[in-house]
Amino acid sequence: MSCESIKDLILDYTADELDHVERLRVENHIKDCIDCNQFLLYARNEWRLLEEWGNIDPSGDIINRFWKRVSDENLGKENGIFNFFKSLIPSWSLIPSLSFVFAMVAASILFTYLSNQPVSYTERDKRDEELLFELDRTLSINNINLLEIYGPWDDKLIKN
Amino acid sequence: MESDIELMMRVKDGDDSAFNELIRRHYRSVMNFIYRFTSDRENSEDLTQEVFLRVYRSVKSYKPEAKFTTWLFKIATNLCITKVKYRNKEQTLSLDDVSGTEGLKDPKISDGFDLKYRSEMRKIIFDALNSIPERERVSIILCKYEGLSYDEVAEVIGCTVGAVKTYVHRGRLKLIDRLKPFLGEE
Repeated sequence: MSCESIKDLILDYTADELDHVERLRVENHIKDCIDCNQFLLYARNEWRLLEEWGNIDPSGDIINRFWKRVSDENLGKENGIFNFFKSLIPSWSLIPSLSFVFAMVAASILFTYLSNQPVSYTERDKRDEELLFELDRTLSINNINLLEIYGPWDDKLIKN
Repeated sequence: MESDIELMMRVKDGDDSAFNELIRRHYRSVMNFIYRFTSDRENSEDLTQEVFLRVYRSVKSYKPEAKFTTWLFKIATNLCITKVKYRNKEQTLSLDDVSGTEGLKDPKISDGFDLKYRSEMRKIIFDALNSIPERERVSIILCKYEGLSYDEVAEVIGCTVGAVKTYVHRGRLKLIDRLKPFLGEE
């Protein structure tokens, strides 16, 4: 068996997770392999070294502290901003009508605001206006030229 | 003795005294898990309370499909990862910041030399564990310190048993490499 695959087994060996056959396989290999023997030492010491970081014990009365926290959080929820607004609403059934009223008020405010906005003309608007005047003038001249085929105006007819 | 699941079902039915028993059984192990993950004793107490609070809040939706402890450690792991990431954004907390108060609260430590040695070892081990990827770290802490099986760890972190084994092996190889100066020669 190669040293690389034995190293995986050595890690399990030090964590005491191997069956009897695999343990023997590791022990036979490390008898003749200096490198794996050294690795076994490191792995074993590493696993033991982790135990140097001992456990700690909780301080004080954990159960009372826990229930105090639960009641504090419940109290916090009751006094929360959401609950404040919730208390303002007398009934959930009023929500559709309140929403409609709110939407109408918002729409009228928006309409008032937009209708009070001053009208401003840009350079482009002025140019468009001049073009429209020009078009109007051109059409008027064309109409006069077309009417000339009937000859000059008969003043008698206008007087009658 | 009632099982954890039976106790949870009692809590679900509104019997809060059953939750006291669950706290008594698992508080210490959850706290130590969080402590090894964050290396911050004071926060560990606070986070442990939060873990149990989350368990208590979600008791209505609890389904006894998995082992209670794996569910508990799943909540603890998620909370730790979130808090550590948030803390890393806020500040870089050094172990030196907490080591001064930490050891004094441990009733088992009385000797000054012992206190200093333990504090140094804790820092060395925490730094080494902190330098390896999250999943490897969680797997090692749960296997080594909390005594969870590979199957249970797989359930906690949501992967296959083979993956957990790989995480533990890879993590340990990295730890051996980083801790070599403290592992001694033959």
